[in-house]
Amino acid sequence: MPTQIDQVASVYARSLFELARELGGDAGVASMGAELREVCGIVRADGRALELFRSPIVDPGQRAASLKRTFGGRVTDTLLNFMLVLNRKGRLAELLSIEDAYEALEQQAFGRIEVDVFTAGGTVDEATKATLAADLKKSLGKEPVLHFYTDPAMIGGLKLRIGDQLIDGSVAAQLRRMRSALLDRGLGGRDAGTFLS
Amino acid sequence: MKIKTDEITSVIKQEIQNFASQLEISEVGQVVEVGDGIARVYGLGKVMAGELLEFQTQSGKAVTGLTMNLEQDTVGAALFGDTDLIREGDTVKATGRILEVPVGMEMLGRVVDPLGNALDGGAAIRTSATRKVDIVAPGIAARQPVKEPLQFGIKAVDSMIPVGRGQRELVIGDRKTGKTAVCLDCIINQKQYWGTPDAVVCIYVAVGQKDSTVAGVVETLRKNGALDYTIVVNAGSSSPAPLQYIAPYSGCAMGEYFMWQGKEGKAPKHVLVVYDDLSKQAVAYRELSLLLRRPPGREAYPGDVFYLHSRLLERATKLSNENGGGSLTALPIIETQEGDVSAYIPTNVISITDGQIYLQPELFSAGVRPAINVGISVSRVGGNAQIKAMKEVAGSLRLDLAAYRELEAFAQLGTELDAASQRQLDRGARMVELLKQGQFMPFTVIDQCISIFAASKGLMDDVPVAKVSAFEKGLLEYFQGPGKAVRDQLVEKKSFKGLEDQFSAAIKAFKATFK
Repeated sequence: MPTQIDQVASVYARSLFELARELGGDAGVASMGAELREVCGIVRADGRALELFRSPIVDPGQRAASLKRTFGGRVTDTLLNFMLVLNRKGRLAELLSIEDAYEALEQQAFGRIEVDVFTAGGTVDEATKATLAADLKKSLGKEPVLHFYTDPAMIGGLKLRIGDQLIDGSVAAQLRRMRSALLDRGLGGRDAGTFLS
Repeated sequence: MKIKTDEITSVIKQEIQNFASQLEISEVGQVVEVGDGIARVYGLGKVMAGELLEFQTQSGKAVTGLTMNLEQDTVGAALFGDTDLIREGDTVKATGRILEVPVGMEMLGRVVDPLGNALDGGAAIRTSATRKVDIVAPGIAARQPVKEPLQFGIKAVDSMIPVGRGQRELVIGDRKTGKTAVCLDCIINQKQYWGTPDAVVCIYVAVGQKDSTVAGVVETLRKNGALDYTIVVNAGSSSPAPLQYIAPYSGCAMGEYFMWQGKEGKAPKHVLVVYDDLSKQAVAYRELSLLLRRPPGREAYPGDVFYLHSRLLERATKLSNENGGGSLTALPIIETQEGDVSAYIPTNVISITDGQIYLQPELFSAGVRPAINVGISVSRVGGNAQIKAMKEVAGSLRLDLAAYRELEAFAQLGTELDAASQRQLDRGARMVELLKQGQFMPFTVIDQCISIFAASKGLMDDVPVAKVSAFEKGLLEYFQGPGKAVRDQLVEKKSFKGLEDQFSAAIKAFKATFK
């Protein structure tokens, strides 16, 4: 689902993105993205790690040492240096937003587009997924990255969210429109008296 | 009587068959922040300023909002309705519409909120038409100069501060000086025209007032039989700032429906809108603007607070004959603090309107009611709209009162005055006495002319000041009885020319019987 990306995060993400591209081209961008996601995955999973990143009580020097101890040799030097820069600037807490911003840049660079697919329930089979992806690619001109969600309130049908656009083909939406059409048109131009005897 | 269910079923079936199943494509966003009647929404990339938004809440109930701020990533929206239901992360849909209110004859006699929902406990209002709330006022080509009078039924106003249909006349004064009472008198006075081609629909817009006060106003209107042609729009002090902000615009939109129906040859086509009061609307707008983080200016009002009132009052119009000749008269009310007319909002509205009726607490406590200060109250266009007879008598009234005010200060020093000055003082005292008038006791314009004629011709000079009001009452009764023939001539000719001697004689005849 599209989330708000703040200005600070997008500036840092762009720097990291451009550095990765200069160093390793498209492959570099992709591998950096994967690495960043992995680091963020760890941080997200462990509440203490997040606390370490955020807490203003921790001394930046100590935090730098701990970052070096934890990630040194396990991630590329570029990413480690990036995290050390964030630490020095007191922006390490932004890492998760930077990941979102980096991903958005990555999608844009590879001509991909995020699409949220909502269904009423149950699993969507692979054949349907493939058809959906192919159709979306044809109409959008970009490679869709599909994320599936369920929303029982839809009753049935399909709902797509592409960026700020919502394409609603759910049964619930059709029922809603039918209701307002019936209310608006009233008795279809007939006098109420014709229904009485 | 029996309902034919099978026929209804067949109609519904037909409707369903004709119902084209279409995909619904819309712009959406998510709530980032909500509170104080304001929401910030992330997304909604293509939304337009002023567009209506639909907030889909978890409870299933949709809440509407109005796009106010377009920022880089987010949209600032003012919320109408149940804002407590909205949570962070809720989906917001752009509707592609702008705010509209229901309009039509069904609204008459009702008390509604600024969105057109009934507040009077009556049945839900179902109208066949709606009108956009915030529109651009008609241009020059669609208008004509103000030419018909809008009678207040108040002597001081109709003679010296005449208001025409389509004019904007400000009612300004401190608290408790009778601002609302003057406007209510005007609404009640329109009763005589209801049902005629000159009928005036009245709309009373209450902004930020106590609900008990508004209930009192509604009761007064009902008691005086004025509610039949009146719509009361209420955004009380407990309603959220966005509703108080749009209330005058929606009242105006309800009035414009009647104004424009004159183009189709329908009546009523004249409208009177009372905005009670615009200072509170400006305060609500200031609250809204500050919450939306718009930069504050003088007195913390946002930079466009002038435009807030000018675009509203510009919608007061006298339409050209090709457009049916309908009119919308605006009576904005502004409350001053300690008589300070040079504060920000009062100066703004004074400069926008075509004149002002200034009410003074000193006059009010001195027993001059309505407490209109006729010296500094003006009407810039209404003079064209006065009937001839009124023009003939009002000129000398204004002069007499001006001379009286000048001499009054001297007289208080206890100095000996020459006979001429004393005469002017006496005349002035009687004029002031004559202009006093009870609340909800409107005078017809002919009656006003006759009493002012009597005073300005010096025929009341020998009536004791304390007896002026009794004399006037008796005089007007006399002209309904023995003097009716003369009065009828005035009604027909609408001018004193050639009738002066007859009137003087009749008044003298009455005076002989008056004790």
